[in-house]
Amino acid sequence: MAKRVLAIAGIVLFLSMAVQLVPAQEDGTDLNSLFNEEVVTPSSTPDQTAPGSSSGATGQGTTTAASNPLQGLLKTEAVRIGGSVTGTVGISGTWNDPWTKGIDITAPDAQQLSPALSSLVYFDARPDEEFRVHGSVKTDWPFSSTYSVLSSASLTGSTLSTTSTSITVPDVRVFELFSDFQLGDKVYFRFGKATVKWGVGYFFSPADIINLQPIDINDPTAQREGPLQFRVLMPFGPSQNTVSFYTIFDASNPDFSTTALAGKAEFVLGRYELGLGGYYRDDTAERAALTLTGPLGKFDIFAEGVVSRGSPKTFYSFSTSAPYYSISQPKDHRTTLYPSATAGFLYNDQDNNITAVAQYYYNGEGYADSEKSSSIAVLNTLLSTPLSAATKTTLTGLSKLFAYGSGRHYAAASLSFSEIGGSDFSASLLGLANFSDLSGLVQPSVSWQIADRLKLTGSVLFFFGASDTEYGILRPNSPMTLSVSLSAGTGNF
Amino acid sequence: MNVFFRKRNPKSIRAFSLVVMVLAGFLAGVPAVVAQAKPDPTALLKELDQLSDFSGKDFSAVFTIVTQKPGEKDSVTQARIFRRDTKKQFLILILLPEVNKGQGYLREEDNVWFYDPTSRKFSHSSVKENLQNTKAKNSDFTLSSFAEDYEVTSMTEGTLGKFPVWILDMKAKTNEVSYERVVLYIRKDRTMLLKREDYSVNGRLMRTTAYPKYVELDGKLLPSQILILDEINKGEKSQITMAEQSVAPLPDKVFTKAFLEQVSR
Repeated sequence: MAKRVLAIAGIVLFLSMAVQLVPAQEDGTDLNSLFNEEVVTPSSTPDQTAPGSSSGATGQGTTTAASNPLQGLLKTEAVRIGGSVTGTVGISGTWNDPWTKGIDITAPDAQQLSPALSSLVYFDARPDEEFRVHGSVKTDWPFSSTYSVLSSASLTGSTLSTTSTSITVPDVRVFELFSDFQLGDKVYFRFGKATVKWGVGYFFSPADIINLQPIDINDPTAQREGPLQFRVLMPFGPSQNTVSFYTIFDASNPDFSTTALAGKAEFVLGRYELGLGGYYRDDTAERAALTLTGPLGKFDIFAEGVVSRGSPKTFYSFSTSAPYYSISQPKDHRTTLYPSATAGFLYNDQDNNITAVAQYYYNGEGYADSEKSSSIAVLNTLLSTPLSAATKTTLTGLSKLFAYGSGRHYAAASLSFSEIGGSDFSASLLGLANFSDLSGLVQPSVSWQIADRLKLTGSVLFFFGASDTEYGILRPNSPMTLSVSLSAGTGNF
Repeated sequence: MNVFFRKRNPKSIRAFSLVVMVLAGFLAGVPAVVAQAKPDPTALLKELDQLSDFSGKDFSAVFTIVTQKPGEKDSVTQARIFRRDTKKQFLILILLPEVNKGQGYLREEDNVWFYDPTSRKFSHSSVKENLQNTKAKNSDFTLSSFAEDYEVTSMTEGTLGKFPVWILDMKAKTNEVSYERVVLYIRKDRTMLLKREDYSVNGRLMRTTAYPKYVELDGKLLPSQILILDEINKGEKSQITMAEQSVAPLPDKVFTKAFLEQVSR
């Protein structure tokens, strides 16, 4: 009897031990075996000397460390060079009127092969702990542009004779070039051409007043080109509060009237960050901006509010009498007030590789519905009357400039799943809508990471909206574009 | 009859001596047993938190994280970490991989910002988020605050390798922590964390972390090797090693956005 009890107990013990061992065996890691010897490495004298003195760095687990942990971060002996390269080969087919004419998948109305290669190369030099120079250049294939320029002109009687010549210019643009220097730890200076991050919006950012490029909705996080500026930044109060002042120079016409002055203060209030900015440029506008970011539950929220007196935007109006259109100058609306605002959220679930962003935008520089409707009616009348082809071409071109950003209420959203189910596939959905006229675009896409630096993406781009709406004018008849793009060799170096 | 003065044979004397010695040994062992008696769990957690608390000093180190995923080649992430526990501040600067070099995380109190030098943008982050593409979370590099964040629901004894351990099952008191339930395996003879298990709200084991190597620094104990097993995606794990640890004082500017921008590429 006792033997039987012992045997049963032994079996139970064995099974319970086996069950406990399964998780460790599944991934080949027996955690118990990590603790069969002493875990504490004998101590040695720690380094407590202040930054400035030097000693050698040490390896893993050692306790005498480099005297100055900042060494190598603020001052480097060598100039660092790096950058990124982007290579894609895209093929696309567009069906101009798929909803009435249908889709013949083998016969798109237009097809395109679009190979692209671009690169950004930067250098970063830190000859001194308080002096840094950073610059970057961009180039795109075919790395040069050819222009036809007038080489000579002569007037014989009433006949003008001209000769032109072609010149080829390398397509290399300075994207950034600036230096950072400082007065102690209190005042930080930057002079040069650099990106300025003022706004907090994701798809729309009316408070992003200074940068020269707008946000690309297809690549909202891309670095954007900034102007030549002199920035003075000073931390104050608690460590994350800053105030910064900018003098911003105009590249095409540097003058007192085209030079902007701006200032911004940023405060951390609990879990939220508040920014207050002001901007003045004599020939275009004064602007006041308020930004707010912070968490709300599992969401990161962001909001901006801007009031602008005057605007650099060009406004268009149309009439049935020649010259049929007028194009505004900044001085025409120098004292008009334009309030704009935006708010949105970002949700990121790292465990499930899901990212969602949604944003609403009130565009104070958009046209009022009545003004927009009457302009479109006039345009349609003009385009249906027997005007010269050149005039109609001009009017068609202006209609697109008029339509772009003409609404007052916009929303955009994106939802992306990466590495779905642990696979190499990702999917995303992007949408943009002008709620003033109910037009917009939707783009679902699927990507397959074939290998490192080799990714295949398929997407479909749908436009929607009636003929008198923003996207109805920009992309008539709600076309559909099917694209397949191979990203090859894209990466940083 | 006086039993004490009764003459005894040598065998009885030897037996008596043995009993006395055993009793004496037992009595001498009482303090040791008392010392091994269940300590107050909250006090134990506080002691654990204080092990790596560098309040009043600054701490910095370089962490190398090797992450393994089945079917993929190992990825290496290296980060330099600066900590000022007095102000609940840290700055994590990514050194490797090259593609993410210059990215950084800045913490002050309950705020965590992530900086991306490509877009020049700061965005809000959290200590709950993973550090880059590793199995480590930002909270793994902060001063632990188990006593403040969790309440102990049970305390049992066990063994891990050759070490007797206290096993503390804990439930979160706040939603600011990465995991709702945590089980700690704390070495008995010298307080230090050897292993932890992190569970989700629905009780699912999410990850297991082992601390097989410690180093002493300025009277504190720091894990110099950490192994994190992803229990959801079996076979995925990160091994963290620490080097160049220092308690040299750091300038205040280190824990600012301006500094993070300055030292990123």
